[in-house]
Amino acid sequence: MAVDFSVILIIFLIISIVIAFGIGANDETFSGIYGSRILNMKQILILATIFAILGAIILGEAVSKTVGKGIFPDVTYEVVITILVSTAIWLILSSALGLPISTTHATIGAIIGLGIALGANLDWLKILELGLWWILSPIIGYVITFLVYKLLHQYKVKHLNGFQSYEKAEKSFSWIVLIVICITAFSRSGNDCSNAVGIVVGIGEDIDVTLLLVITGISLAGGLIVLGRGVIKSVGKITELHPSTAFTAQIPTAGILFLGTALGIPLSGSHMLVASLVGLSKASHTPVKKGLWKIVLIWFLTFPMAGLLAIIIYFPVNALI
Amino acid sequence: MKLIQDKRNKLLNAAKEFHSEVIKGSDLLHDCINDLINGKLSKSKLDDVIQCEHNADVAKEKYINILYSDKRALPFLIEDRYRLIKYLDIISDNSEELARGLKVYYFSFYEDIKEEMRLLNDLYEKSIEALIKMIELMETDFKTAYRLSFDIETFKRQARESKFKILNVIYQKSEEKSIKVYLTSKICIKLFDMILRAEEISDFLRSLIVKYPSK
Repeated sequence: MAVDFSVILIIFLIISIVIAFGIGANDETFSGIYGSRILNMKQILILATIFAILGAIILGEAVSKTVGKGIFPDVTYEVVITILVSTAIWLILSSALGLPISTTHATIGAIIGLGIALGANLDWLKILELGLWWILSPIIGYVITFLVYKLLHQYKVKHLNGFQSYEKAEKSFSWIVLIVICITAFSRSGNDCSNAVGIVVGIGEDIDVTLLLVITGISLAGGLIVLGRGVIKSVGKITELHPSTAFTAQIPTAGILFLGTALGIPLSGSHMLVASLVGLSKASHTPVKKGLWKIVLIWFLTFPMAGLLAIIIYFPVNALI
Repeated sequence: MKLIQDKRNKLLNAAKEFHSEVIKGSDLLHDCINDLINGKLSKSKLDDVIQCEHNADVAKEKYINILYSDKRALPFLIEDRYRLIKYLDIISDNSEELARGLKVYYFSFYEDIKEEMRLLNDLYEKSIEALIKMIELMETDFKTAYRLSFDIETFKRQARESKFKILNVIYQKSEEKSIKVYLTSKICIKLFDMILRAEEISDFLRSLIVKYPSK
């Protein structure tokens, strides 16, 4: 029995909405803004929504990224959907617990799980390399933030004296952090939406891509509003933050992340940020909040769980397509 | 930029208003205790101390309103400044309480503790003055503020010595009216408590100086 095109379109649209929702739900970009109380949660959600939609419309390329390329030998349409949906589900589950995970690592976990289940000839050397970055990402975040904090501390000791000069400096840092985070949210939204939109674009040529981008942008923002606030709160409260220390934790790591992406190094933004905050707490002798072990545990669970989900989801997806 | 400057000036002016009322109150109370020692305590002067506390309350409310009206102000600085004014307000409240206590003190002051009481009274005035100066310096100069905190600590140590010297004398007056012994010891203890409070606030300020690193 032939399935109507509009039915397929609706199913794929729902899938892309779930993917965008999952990615948005685990977006911790604004946690530094929340932790340092530059803005309150309501203001953050308004700003995040605006940049999610703008990023999706302006930057969201209507081209699917070939998820799994380079690791998985034959990347078929159902494989891409399975990987994205299982990643989205794992993102939603961890977001519901308020725990940040790496989207990249969830995707890789799904690829490995599916590859093993289908008996595919996986590129284990590539996987090993990715695993190495999984370990190195938090170490890099920790070390960089520790060093930048020490430098900033020296600057403060040398140049700042009295509440008034602190007020002036911290306000400048607030603006820098706010602007950079908004740019990050904007570009991240464009990047993430292409994952979600790509699978719908692939099923036909008469699809309004702009409308699709708006829908995924809204879904991304929806994920942020419904579940993302928990992730932002939990990351933002890992340690005591001020605008200057939020700058220390987020801006250099964002720069390294950008550089890593340009060089093709799969660093994890989430892992780097959490480790940066721990590094910051060590450097500034402020306590780390209880329950950090939950975040570390979910990082370890991400690979097997995403893989397991991919195996479970693959068969109904395969049957559908 | 001008708007931010105006807001800051408004806040600093409100703080100055509050500080000057606290200083005025402590100066008046210092005079009242000296008058008590010299046997010429005036009730109207005590009313002025109470009035100063009320004026300080009004100035404090004004300061808090300005502090919280700036939506773009940094939360941690708001909290620290708020805590500071609340602590200082406790000293102001205590001065009113002591002034009210002095109103019901109908006895002539013990001769043998007059000198020590004068010393304790002077230490009280010096501590409050140093504390207010320290609080004002917190806005622009942590280093000098930090040094001042040690002066306040010295004042407290000296005040403690004085307090126990006074108590040692009056608690041995078994033939005296117990109510006079009680009220005199209360004046001494209340005065010392305000010095102690000043020292606690200076400790808090010192912790803030550590929190905001500087030279």
